[in-house]
Amino acid sequence: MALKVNLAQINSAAKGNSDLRETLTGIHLALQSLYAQTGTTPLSKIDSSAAPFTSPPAPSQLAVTGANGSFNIAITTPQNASGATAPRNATNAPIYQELSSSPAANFASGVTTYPISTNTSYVLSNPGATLYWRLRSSYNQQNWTCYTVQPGAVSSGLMSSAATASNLSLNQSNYATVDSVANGSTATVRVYGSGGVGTSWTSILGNSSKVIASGTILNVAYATNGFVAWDGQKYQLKPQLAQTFPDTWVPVGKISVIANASGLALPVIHAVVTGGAIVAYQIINPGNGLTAAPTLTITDSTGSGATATAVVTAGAVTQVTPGSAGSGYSSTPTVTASGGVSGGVAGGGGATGNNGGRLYADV
Amino acid sequence: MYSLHQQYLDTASGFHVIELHDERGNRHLVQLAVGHDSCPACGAVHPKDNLGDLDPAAAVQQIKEALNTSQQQMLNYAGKHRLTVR
Repeated sequence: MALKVNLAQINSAAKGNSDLRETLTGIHLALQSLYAQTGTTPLSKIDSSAAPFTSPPAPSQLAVTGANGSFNIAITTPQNASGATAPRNATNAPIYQELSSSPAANFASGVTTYPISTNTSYVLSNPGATLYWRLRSSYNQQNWTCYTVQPGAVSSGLMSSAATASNLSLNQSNYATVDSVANGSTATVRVYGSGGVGTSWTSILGNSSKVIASGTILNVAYATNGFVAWDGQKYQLKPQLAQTFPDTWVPVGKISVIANASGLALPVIHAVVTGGAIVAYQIINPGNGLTAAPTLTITDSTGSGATATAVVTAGAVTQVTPGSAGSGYSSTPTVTASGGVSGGVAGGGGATGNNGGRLYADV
Repeated sequence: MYSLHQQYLDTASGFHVIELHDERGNRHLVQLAVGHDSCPACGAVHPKDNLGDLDPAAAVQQIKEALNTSQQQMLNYAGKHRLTVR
């Protein structure tokens, strides 16, 4: 019986897979040899006119767009191209694509070459970048087409915080506290670290950190709102957080400056002692004008360890919740109330960051 | 102890910036808002009308004394307990 297969058909069946092509060709040659020995009619000769798959394919089309901090890459292979000349890869042989980018239009510097793949779409996260893009194609990763270049530069845009993954390594956090206190006719905003007022604080960005000076911002109007940011030299107090920060800025915190505290009257509270322990509290005067629960500090000549929490309703203390009862108290411990005015939000509230300081407001 | 390192008026941000340094490189910024206030409701800005009453020297002196008092107490504590001061 005559062999009906020629090398063009083997090439077609292999679809560019060189290993399969060699295997099939080997079988083909073995059969030819067998037929020669047995006298069966062999193939006249190996068909040398088949496409060798070593020449590059027809160029693929490249389309790059940028949005939300990412480049979106779409590659159209010849067989998927529309138009009178398509398809130009009728056997759908795999086409390897090599994608590269550069900040320079002539790709003379800063070229990034991405892993060779047969993929036809990519989403590459690179917020705030503007790049030129090009593509070349091959069947065998050795013989390539000329580059197909995306016309013009493409900007990825800024990444919104909603688009960032949780615990993104570039997320920014800080250990600053921002609050405000009454200071005569105006309020004072304070920025400080974990050591208390006057201590520096640490900003963490990705794997790096830096220590930033504490600050006191005077002459701020009562009852205003704002955002505090460190601009590299000093603090900025902005009524609204811009959508983007300059790269050198560090968000510090959101501040709700206290209302005028001139009408503030702190509560008067007495402790009830039984067997050296504080078992209850008596509200002698509920106070007035409170905008936050005052801190209760209990001191005594002999006792220690007692804690309590005040509950404020409509500007006055309506309840004192005992915590630890403590021990060793005399009959007249002193309960001192302090604070009682809201002082803004602790540092880091209201702003999250990513990408080296390019920020998007969450608030 | 903290002392005046530099001060300047930053017209872009509307702050009189006063930078205090101590001998260990610690810094504290005193910033007087002299530019404007903002409306808490709409964010509109209003010029300050109290600049004539401001006494920056007194404000800085008060903050400097507080910082130095705190620092002196820490140094006393370190001396009492023979701690290395960094």
